Amino acid sequence: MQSIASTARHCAPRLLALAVSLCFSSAALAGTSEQARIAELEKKLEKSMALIEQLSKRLQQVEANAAPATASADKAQAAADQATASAHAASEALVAQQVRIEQVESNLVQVADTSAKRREMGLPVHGFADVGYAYASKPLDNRKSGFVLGNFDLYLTPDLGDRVKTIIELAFEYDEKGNSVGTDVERLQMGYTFSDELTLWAGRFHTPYGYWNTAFHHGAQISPSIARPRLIAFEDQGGILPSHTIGAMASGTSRVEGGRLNYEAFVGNGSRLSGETGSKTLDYNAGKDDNNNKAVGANLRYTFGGVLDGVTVGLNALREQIDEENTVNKTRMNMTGAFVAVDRDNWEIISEYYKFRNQDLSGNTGKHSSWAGFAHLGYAINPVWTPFVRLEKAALDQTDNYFLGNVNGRSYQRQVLGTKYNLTNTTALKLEMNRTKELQPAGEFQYHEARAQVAIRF
Amino acid sequence: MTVISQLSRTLLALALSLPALAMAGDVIVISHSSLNMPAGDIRDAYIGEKQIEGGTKLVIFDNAALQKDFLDKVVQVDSAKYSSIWTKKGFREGLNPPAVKATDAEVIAAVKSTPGAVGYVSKAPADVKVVKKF
Repeated sequence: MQSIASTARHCAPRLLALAVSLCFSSAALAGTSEQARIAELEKKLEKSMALIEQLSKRLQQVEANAAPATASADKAQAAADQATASAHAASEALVAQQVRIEQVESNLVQVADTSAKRREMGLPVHGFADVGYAYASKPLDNRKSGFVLGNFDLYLTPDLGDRVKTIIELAFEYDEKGNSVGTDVERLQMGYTFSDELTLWAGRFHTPYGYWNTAFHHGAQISPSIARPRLIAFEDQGGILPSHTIGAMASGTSRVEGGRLNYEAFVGNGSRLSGETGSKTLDYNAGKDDNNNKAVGANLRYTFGGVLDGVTVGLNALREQIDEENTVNKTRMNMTGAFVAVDRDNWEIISEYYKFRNQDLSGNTGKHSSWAGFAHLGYAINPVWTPFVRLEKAALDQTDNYFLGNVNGRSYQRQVLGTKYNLTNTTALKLEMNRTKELQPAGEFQYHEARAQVAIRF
Repeated sequence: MTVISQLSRTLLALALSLPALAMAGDVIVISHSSLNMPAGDIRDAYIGEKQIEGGTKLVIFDNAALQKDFLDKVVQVDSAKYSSIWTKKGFREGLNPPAVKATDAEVIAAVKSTPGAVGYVSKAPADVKVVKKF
């Protein structure tokens, strides 16, 4: 292609020389025959024109061939660029894939490490502890004003596999007389979850009635107040209901229209009244049952959803035979109850009501009707400070052997005023005071108390 | 010419980043491939009210990098309340709170490899089962 172009360039001077020579030739032939000379010159001119035309065609042909060649060169360049870009993209994808593989490997290692660390770290232990100060205007249970060690409660929830659940709770506390530290296997329950609607438990558990007993129990830091309502006090503190049961329990939950339904149903050892006359308390027969009569009970509650989210209402029942130690007294306790709990919009409201229709099985006093209840109202004025007020009342029939034999089986009224201040999410400072009026056989007994408590959880 | 070129590049970069900006704050709940979990059960699962789905024990994962958005949008409680819920669930019912993972990648790896697993991420890869995008 270059040679053709070169030929074309060389032809141009020759044509110029030919034109010049034609001019000089015509002058030189002036003296010869005009006709012959003109004819010869015309022939030469025709040859020259033919040559010019031929060279012109070749030049056009050369140019025509040169254009596709340039286009081909451009295409080749574009293809080369595209190939480079593709190679670059492929390289980037390869790097990205390598990074991803390394990330996945890293994640797998982390998962394995976490698993291994969990095994190495063992089982997490949770717990509650509290200390405080108590003042009473009159001696109560040989107790005067002073500092008190509260409860040290440890609980574990080991993950034993797919469907197995376990709760192990140990409580350490001084006995009511303050003489020695008692260790209590507070809960030891093992369950198997068949579905959301059914978990079967066996062991020792918190008796499911009302809301407070299972919601807070020994968890002082999460409890709204320092002292439990007296009518649901622990057994060794003169409670009139067994707060623990040894037996079997079914529990479950199910979503229903507008909310969620939860239940617990149980059967366990019946309780007895034991201790010295005048200070007998409920013994829920943790070691062994004293008779063949079992306690049977259930707790059914409905938690609203939607606009009433945080509101729970419930019904509960308990039936068992209670024998009084060293006497012939036998009573069939028939308790039914209802409760409402609100935990929303800064409000903490818990109200429980219990109705007793106890039957005398050892004498001829028949059935006895009693009732007890409380209403606790707390309002969080900011995220850490929750003042509260609580009213308690029990109207207990003193011709009922069950209440007569229990150290705290007297009718009473109590007003409680206090506040809970969350120093942190796991530490609470509580102050409260109460005024109590109790109807004792000797007459009305009034007193008031003040308490302070620091409670932690971990 | 240089200014125009730079402006064009800037506009192009901005246009390309718009989808990413629109996705900021997205919470995508994902599950193990074998789990068919209704979106309506997500909240219950994360407050301990739902433990079994289709015969499979649920294994719940929290994502520390995205927890606040998730609690706001899905559980509709703050972190203090969420912690309180699980403290009470553990004490009352023996349930253990969700395991906490630090990043999307950790959650994805855990969910993929654990039958019954549920987690949430800000961006779900194509090979992960999406329960719902919030």
